[in-house]
Amino acid sequence: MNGRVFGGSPVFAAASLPVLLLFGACVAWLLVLSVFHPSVYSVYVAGLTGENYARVFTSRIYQTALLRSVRLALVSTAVTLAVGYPMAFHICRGAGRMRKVWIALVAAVLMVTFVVKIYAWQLLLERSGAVDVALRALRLTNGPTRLIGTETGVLTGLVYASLPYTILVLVGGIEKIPQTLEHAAACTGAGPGRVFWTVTAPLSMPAVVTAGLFAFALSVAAFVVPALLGAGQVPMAGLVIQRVSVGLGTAGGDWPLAAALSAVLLAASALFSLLLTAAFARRRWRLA
Amino acid sequence: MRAWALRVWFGAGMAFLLAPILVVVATSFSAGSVVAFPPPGWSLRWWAAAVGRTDFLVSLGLTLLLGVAVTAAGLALGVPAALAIVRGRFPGRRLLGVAALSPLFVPNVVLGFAALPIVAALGLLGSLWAVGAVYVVLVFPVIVRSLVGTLAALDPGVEDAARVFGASPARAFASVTLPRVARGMAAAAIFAFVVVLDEAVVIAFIGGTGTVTFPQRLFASIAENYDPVASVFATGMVVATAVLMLVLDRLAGFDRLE
Repeated sequence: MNGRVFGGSPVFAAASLPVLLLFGACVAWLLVLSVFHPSVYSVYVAGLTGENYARVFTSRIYQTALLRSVRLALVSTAVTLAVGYPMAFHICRGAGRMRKVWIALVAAVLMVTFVVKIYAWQLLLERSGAVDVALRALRLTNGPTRLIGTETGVLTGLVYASLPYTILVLVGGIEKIPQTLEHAAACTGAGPGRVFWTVTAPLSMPAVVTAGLFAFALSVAAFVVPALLGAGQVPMAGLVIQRVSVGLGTAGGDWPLAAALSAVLLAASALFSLLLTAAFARRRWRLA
Repeated sequence: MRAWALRVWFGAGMAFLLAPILVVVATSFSAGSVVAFPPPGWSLRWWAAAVGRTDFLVSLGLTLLLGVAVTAAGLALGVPAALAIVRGRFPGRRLLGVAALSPLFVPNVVLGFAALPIVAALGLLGSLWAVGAVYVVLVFPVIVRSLVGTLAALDPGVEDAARVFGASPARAFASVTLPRVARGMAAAAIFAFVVVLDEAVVIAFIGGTGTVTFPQRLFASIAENYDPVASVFATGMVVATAVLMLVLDRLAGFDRLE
């Protein structure tokens, strides 16, 4: 191997084979399983059937879980972007020397073990937890409120999970916009609002799309958040896949059904990515 | 938006991000016998109790071991793969770049379930080796993505210069390029390590009953009842994360974090 540069030879590419083979085998077998017959005795029986997909789309339980996942993911993505964009903008344009500190702090929050953070939300959202107390003090609620086990509670967790990612992605995008463009607009008479809406906002759209994709993907397949903050009352697709595959009580798991659910979930994420990228690809929202 | 309104919004957002972490730290110093926030009083009783909790300590040890092994394996496979993606001149190089990142687009819930039939068929349910192998799939794209960025930013001319003076390709790489990507590699390793420390989903499918990692132990102790000792270990994780962040800052600088 005396290639021109070190690492240029295809031999190095072979290092990715074990990972890609294992990954490919898992996903391929998942898709195959989804058209097999379920079986009480041997988990699955080879064959070709659409009944698993039919059950996913006709059964109330699975339909509700999938639709709720998509709906909560859409709402949490929108909320995360709405909360995160002004924060990222402040970090880039208004924070001055504190910029680095804030980025570090957001990154630190992101790196703290996820279960730990959701654990804290469980304490905060409990009946007579800090959020309940605050809501009552502000007279927003009358009696004690338990947000655990409600969609609002789950939504809080989903937004919390994707907010640090979103802020970091948006900061990266806004940083790339040359401030000279904003100065040029201001020099030629545009007010701050006009500068933002005609220069900064359109040029940061690619980052908004990336952040939106991240947030949606994290939320639609969420597992820890609905498990801990949903308290069994707010089943989402991820939780249902786990329950169906492991089985409840003495009943064994239904792998073909869980596989069909997984395939539909994957398809939903892929569809969202395609739609969002297609919607923004036609606009000339890029630096020339 | 007016500047002051933006400031208030930002402050509220940061409070939202930081509040849960402060809550965990505060409850670990509680004097009460059940977890509550705000705590009824302050004490170190749960920190003292934590020392004797072998279930948590064993899980923590297991997870650290798994983290180190998986990160090492991920680097061993990810470094050559990233080199091939950046420097390769063979057909399919672009495809390799996309394929290497593809596990990032499959949610952990789906990957965990997808791994279940294969791991079960091999009779490896609950085996640390199986968990490690699937975790390598999780960290590999994280490492490759981070290293591709680092390697692509290098000026290839410097390595060429070493070649001109007679160094072999491997020698030129080891003495010129490696020192310049060492920091990037360390940062990639930390990201990978954090992925393993964080992972509570895939393990729920293939962990069986014998292998209980730290995030899973924490998850179980929270889902079943509020064990105040969980707050102590969670606080420990927060402190460990802060230390890792400082190391990362030294290595790569926060500016370069994605």
